[in-house]
Amino acid sequence: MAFINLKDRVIQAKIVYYGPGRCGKTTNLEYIYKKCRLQIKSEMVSVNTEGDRTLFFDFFPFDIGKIRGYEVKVQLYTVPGQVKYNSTRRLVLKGVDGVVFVADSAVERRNANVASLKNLQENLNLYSKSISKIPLVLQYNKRDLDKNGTPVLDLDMLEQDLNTELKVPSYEASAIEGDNVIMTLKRIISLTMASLEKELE
Amino acid sequence: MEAKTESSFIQELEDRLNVIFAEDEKPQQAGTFEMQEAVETSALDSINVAPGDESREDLFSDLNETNSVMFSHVKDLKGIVLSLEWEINDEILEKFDNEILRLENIYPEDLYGLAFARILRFLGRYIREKSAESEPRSINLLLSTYDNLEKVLLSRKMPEAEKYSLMLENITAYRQWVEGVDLTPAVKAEGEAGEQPAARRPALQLLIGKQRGEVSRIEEPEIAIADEPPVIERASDLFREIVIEDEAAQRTGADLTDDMTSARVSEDGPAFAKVPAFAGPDSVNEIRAGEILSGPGTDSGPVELQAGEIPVPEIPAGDIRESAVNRDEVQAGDLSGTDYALAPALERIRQEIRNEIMEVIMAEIKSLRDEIKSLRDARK
Repeated sequence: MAFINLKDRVIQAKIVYYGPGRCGKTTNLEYIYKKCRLQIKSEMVSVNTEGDRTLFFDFFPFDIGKIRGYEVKVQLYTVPGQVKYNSTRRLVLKGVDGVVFVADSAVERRNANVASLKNLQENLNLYSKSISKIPLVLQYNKRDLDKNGTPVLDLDMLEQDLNTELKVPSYEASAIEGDNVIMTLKRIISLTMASLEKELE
Repeated sequence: MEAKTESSFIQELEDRLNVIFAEDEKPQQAGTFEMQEAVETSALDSINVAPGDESREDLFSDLNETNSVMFSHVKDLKGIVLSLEWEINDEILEKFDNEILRLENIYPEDLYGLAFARILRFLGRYIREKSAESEPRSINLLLSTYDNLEKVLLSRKMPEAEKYSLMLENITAYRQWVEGVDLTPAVKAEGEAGEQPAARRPALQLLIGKQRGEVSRIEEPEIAIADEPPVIERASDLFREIVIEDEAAQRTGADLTDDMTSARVSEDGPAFAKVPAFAGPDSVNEIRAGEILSGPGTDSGPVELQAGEIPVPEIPAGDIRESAVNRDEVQAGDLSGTDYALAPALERIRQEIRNEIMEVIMAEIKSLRDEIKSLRDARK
């Protein structure tokens, strides 16, 4: 849940990067961290990782600075994408204010994307949140795979699978190359803050 | 979620993000529903600084400071504290304790550092000792104390007065906490010796769950089959009560069984054993046909008892007890025929009472089992 302290003028939101295993959630955060570590007075913390698999979560407190007198802070989290870590995903989703759903563009990951989005919906429901109401951005990651000859799902198919009903902003991206990673982040921060602002009204 | 971000706050936020990620303004093809609205503003001059806001210089004033946690002595401690936010186990708490001790050695002359470190050390040890039974505020206090420690140690510009104020606030909070918690060592119940401690319990559960009364439910002992004995015990208690009540009821009529009962109670102790006093199976078997009636002095004077015999007291006139014998025939002191006449009656009464008692017991057991089942269902 967003932390808004009117007295101390602090606004803090929690954004979670969600998606199937190995879709590139941590890569997103690593790229963001790399791009802004000089400006942001915080460190990225990876807790319990095994090789390139996130076992617990990645955490990146992101201080945006003062906006109209308010200290704006965003906490970026990833979840372990593997199916077996659902309880951890649930924990990380607690109090979430905005979600970036990172889908894997690889053709063979099509079902995993859909399953993960459904899992997100279920886990949000546990916290009485609706996937259709929470600020959400879709990121179709690994678009660079086709350069290596790996077949990727075309955009229409991804949209049809994941975004037909949601109709949320979506981006093609390549987290490893940094394409649209920042756009995705900026978009989810804007949506989340706008949602919080609306709630406050 | 196509919320238009028209407010000045959001606009300013986007501008700020554009500044932070100035180099990365290279939007790629977006999805069908994406509205490309990247604001191409990378110059600092484009930011509208709101009244009351600090200047851009203030915004990035600390950029050149090397006060980052990454380069400080509390780097490892921060990692441990962040781990504690998610999972509390003995291993992490031990690392925490060691790290605090290390810090105390690094800052032996730093009043504030030492004060916070000592509070942290105690809180860490308390949580380790109490594990899941820790007072819910403990972990919050630990986290806030760490925040204060970090602020004091890393903020070069923080005035001494502010540091002092922070320390006093923290000590006050710590004292309040101390007054409100049970600091006696946790006593492990029997059979828990080999169990895992409260390790691997996500701190969020401890933090949030306890605050919302969830963890207390989680930590309740599982109602298992092992609970059956207490149920039986309760049934025995009930049984005991019923026996006593029945006994009292019997006494209201006459003291037919008075001596028998008292004799049995004094010999056998438990009230449960009073049941045969109404002439239970064993007692009945002990009454041999003709033994009492045909005994000496049946017509007059007290009956002499043989070893193992059960006395059959006189039935006073007006006794309402059902009997195979015509009541009119039963006179004071007249025991003729009571042997054969009363034994079946006693047996029948005994059987009825037994049946009633068993019915009540079974009903109670069933009720208790249902209660346990409903509790289990509720827990699920």
